[in-house]
Amino acid sequence: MKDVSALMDGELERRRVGSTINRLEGQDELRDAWATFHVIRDALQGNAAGSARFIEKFHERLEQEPVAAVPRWRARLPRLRTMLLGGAAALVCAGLLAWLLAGGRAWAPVAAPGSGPFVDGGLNDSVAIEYAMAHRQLVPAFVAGPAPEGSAVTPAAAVPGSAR
Amino acid sequence: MSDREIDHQLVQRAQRGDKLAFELLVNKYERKLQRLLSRLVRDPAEVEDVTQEAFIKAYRALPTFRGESAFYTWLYRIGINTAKNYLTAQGRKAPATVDIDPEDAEAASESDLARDSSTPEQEMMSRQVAETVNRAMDALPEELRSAIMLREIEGMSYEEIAAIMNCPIGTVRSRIFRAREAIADQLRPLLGTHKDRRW
Repeated sequence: MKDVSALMDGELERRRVGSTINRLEGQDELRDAWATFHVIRDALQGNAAGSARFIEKFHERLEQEPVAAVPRWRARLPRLRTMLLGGAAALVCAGLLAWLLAGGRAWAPVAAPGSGPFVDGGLNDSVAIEYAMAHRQLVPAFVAGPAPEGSAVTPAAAVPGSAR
Repeated sequence: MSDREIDHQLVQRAQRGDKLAFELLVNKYERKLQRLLSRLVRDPAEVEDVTQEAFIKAYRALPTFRGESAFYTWLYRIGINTAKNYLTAQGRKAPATVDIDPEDAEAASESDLARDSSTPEQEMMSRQVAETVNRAMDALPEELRSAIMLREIEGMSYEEIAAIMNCPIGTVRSRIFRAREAIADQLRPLLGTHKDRRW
């Protein structure tokens, strides 16, 4: 019952609220405490006590009412929104982490095709260069700008062990 | 978790079809709503019926409640509309001098209460409850009385009470609970309730 007292004051730990409401709904003794504690509160704050039969009469009327439930999809909206936001945040974090692990410069500007000598675009480690060279025919200017005329370097030749 | 958040938890349960959760809210707000509506519907015999109707309308409208305002603000608006519609249906008008803002209704002064209408039976009940609560308060040990007064009358949080009473928050929680229990013991025979009663 101490939890019921703290609950009505909005002073119960968040993690215990759900279980306390469950117990409140399941135990007559706790519901009586909830009702009586609110009568005390109202009396101390100057609210008239009203009819003792009010809640009993209301209970009888409420029994006749069809259940006023919201559609399941709408009841789940807040949780779905939280999940989506959480997922988006996790993706952003993962992307940021990957970028940091890759040296944090992968997005730095690269030279436009034919715009002159290659300027370091962040692909300065051997694995990245190897990868870029293998795909040079797709993006010829990506790593080293336009290939010199007559260059003997082919993608296959540029990647050790890739020639068949 | 704040009081408003707890109301929302109960509302969400009621929205999932849990009628008991809604009854807990009725328990909490019935007297406040009756007091508010008694300023519109002057006939004391009708106030309770209009209040019951307002709660039923609120229950039916629960699927439309999205939690953008506090539950009690939403409930009080429904109550005021119910009372006005009731008076209109009776060919009467709401008192012109009464312009109730749900937020203001919370802070109505005691002089307003004196003007509230109630049946002789309700008046007697209210007086007996008030006397019993006051007597039980007087009989409380000083530390319990101070704790519950700071909470219920001054509206302080447990943290603020702990600072004033120079004790841990857990002690405040315990003192307020013990005070409520002591007063409830005196009150139960009058309310016709006891710990094993189904309400």
